[in-house]
Amino acid sequence: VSASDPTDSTLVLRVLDGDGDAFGVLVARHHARCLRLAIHVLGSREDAEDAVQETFLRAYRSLGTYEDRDRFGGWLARILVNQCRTALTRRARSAETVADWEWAAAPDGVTEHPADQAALREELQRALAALDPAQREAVVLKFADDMTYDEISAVTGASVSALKMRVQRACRRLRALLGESAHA
Amino acid sequence: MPERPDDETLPAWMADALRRPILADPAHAQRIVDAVRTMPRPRRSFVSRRAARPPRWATRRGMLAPGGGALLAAVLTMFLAVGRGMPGTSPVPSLGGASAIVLRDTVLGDALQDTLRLVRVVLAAPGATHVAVADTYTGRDDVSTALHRDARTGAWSGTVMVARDVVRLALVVESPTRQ
Repeated sequence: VSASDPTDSTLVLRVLDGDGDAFGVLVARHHARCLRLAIHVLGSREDAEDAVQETFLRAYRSLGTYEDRDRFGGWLARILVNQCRTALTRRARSAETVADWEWAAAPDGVTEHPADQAALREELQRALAALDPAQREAVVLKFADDMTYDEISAVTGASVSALKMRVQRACRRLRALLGESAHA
Repeated sequence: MPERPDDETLPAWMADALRRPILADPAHAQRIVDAVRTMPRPRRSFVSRRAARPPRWATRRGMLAPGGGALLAAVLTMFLAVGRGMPGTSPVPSLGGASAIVLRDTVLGDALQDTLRLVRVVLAAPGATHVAVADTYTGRDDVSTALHRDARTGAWSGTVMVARDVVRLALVVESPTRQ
């Protein structure tokens, strides 16, 4: 988003004023981020796409209640987290997911063998699946979206102290599971 | 055993993997946009916007604009003029004037706690036998802060802590004069 681009709040106002294309800009701006968060929380591209679609539709319906003082991305994340929770509740507890998604591109021109990327995806997915949903949600928001604890608290409704505890326990569990040296 | 801050770190490869962009299907985003086009236009929620707007007398947290101070004093005066109408109390005799001045925010340790303000209340009521500020949260007369009388001037004064958003104070004035 460059300085000359309209802000999210401006786009929201345009939508409310009847500019149908403005919501398309919001979708284009936030779709990839929402999909990344949902995939890491849910572990399945199909479930994630459903959750993201429902998130945007709900956001559109509720756009009149959006307040300028909120960050649109945070407001959207709040809806997304609720959708992911609903999806997890619907899904059978024992259901295993396969990493049916791909990264966009290797960072900074690094050449990467497809098999290596697939192995990395599987390992990431296996590690996240080892966490309970609340821990996974906190870890994803903190590390995949670089949210502060205050922001995560606003999104999830959990207290900052509870979130810190979840992240600490999740990190300890993941380090124990993966072994620090494996990818160092 | 207490948690340590470095407990909040992931293996580097995993943190990188979580931040890495995921290949998104443009058709999926387009489906969302297409679905939205079939939906009715969202309506503005005027009520919540109006509620979120700060009142005009407020400047920033913990402060009153000059107009806000005047409003506080005016409401206070109105309450005094109306009186409480309870047995044993009466409209204030010999009211010479009232003032309520915000002294400062309350401070706890090094941190500014601007949820409460110290307010100096002064009432000129030489004929009164007891003057108190009613509880600002409940308005109950039986939970009040008594003011002290200056024997020389007959003015009643005291300092009370009130919540940040309070713009009116109720005084309970007792006088031997019946209505």
